[in-house]
Amino acid sequence: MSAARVDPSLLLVGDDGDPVVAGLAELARAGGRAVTVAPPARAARMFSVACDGARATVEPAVPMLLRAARPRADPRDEQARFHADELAATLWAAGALSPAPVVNRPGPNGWAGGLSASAAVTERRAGVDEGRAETFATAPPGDGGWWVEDAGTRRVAVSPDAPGPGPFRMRPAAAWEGYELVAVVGDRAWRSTALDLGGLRLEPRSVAACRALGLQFAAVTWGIEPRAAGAAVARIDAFPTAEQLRPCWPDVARALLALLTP
Amino acid sequence: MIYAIGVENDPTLAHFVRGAVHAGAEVRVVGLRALAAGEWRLTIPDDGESVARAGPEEVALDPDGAFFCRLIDLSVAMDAAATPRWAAMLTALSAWLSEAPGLVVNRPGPGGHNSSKPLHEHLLAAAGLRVPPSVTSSDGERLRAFADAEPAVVKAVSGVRAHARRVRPEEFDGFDPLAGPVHLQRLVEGHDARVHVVGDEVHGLEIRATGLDYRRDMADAAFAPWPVPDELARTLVAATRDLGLAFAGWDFKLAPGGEAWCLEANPMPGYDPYDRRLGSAITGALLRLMTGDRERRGDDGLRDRASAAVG
Repeated sequence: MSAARVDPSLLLVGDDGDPVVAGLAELARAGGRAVTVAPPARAARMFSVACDGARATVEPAVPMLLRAARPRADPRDEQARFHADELAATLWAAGALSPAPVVNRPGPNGWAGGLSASAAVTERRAGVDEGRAETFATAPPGDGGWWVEDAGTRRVAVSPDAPGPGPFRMRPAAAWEGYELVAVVGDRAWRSTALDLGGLRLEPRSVAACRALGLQFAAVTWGIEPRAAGAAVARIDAFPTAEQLRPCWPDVARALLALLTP
Repeated sequence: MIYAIGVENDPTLAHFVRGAVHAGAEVRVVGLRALAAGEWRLTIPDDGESVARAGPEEVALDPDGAFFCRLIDLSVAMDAAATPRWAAMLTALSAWLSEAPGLVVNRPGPGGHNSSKPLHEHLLAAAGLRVPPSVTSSDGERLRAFADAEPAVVKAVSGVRAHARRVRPEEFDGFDPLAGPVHLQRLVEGHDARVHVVGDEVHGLEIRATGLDYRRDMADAAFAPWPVPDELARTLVAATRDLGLAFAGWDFKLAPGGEAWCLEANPMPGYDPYDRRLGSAITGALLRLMTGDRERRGDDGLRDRASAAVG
């Protein structure tokens, strides 16, 4: 069998059982589209990338939603790790160079736009930096009032409690009354609640942040100050979960299809 | 102050530190193995209290200093219990160094496309360099056709270091797609050249060897300084800067007709074997860059470019 002969009108790349991929595939098929759902390893083998001078050709030039990037591999198996790296490198190039729509399109230096493991770095790149410090340390803070995340378990506590043995990532605790999640697809955005948040304009601010990060599809979580006096970005996910998208899924799914198959 | 951050037994880091000490520069070394077992506190934006304790010594990190960095992920070679700590250390250092206002050689992130060779080669060609054509595929017919048309070499698609070798078209008869992908590049006959760009300085070496990949046995290769043609030197300085890098190692094949074919740009070059053959000219250039005044170093511009390259 030849690996490069599959030519669907839409390719959804995700791990088995990803409900976002399953839901989008169902909607696309209902609309009469030929959809292929593939985990990253199989997707990578579908592509051929030819480079000749500054001209790159990607075949098949198929619209693609990238929900997962790197094939899973046993970290102790060197050969399996190498093969996973080779597959990920190919999918990265195909996604970055394809002339077809790709969401989220990988950039020259990575998969998830300007997102960083550091919230402070992400906020600066997204243009939503409000000067909140972030500290990485092996010891927990000596005083109270910090959000503290354990690097190993990802558990979070408010100091003086410690969520684990560390190392830690810490930020000053903010006086947020609650959270609002905004799903972004291209230049459209949907809040997850109908609460009256005054003039916070979270939808356009979310779209602007994602654009600055090079993301077309993301979930932006905002921390909301008491009486909706203000809001600040709490986190940004480039691979939103089905749970995050549930309140606005029909709108999100239609917008994704429109973006991928204009 | 120059900070040298990397794995203790990395020969390139050791070479840089020796050269810097020999030149009388003030250098503080932060060994990653010792740091992983030690303590750190790094704040963004820096609050004046960022420190790294690697071994018995606590090093206060001045974000306005100059940093020679070789952050290498060794977590895959560690037991499961040690992996999160190493990963957390690299995350902390990468974030702090990406925001430090001083000169970082090189900031983490830029040049990452070296880990995807088709993308990397496309970007180098777009920067104005002559790059051999390539194909990356799991399709045996396509791979065979490429290898059949003209001589080709096979390389790793990813950033994993692997030696290139010539391929025969018949190797792809009955090719199992599950064995893919494969990256083939058109073979360029000729000698090798390695060019190191440090800021606006360019240092070239020509390498003559009998084998296809001189790195297999560098002792058998003959090295000689290579005066990089002016136009190519200008292109390399601009491309290095535009990639958000202060320092890069560029690999070329020099065809018999004189054309320089670019094979890759290394964002974390293991430059020590070449520097020894150039009388430490590369280390000298690094030290001039890292101890020069900020306007000449162009720290802010490089940080902005690095950030744009990542974003």
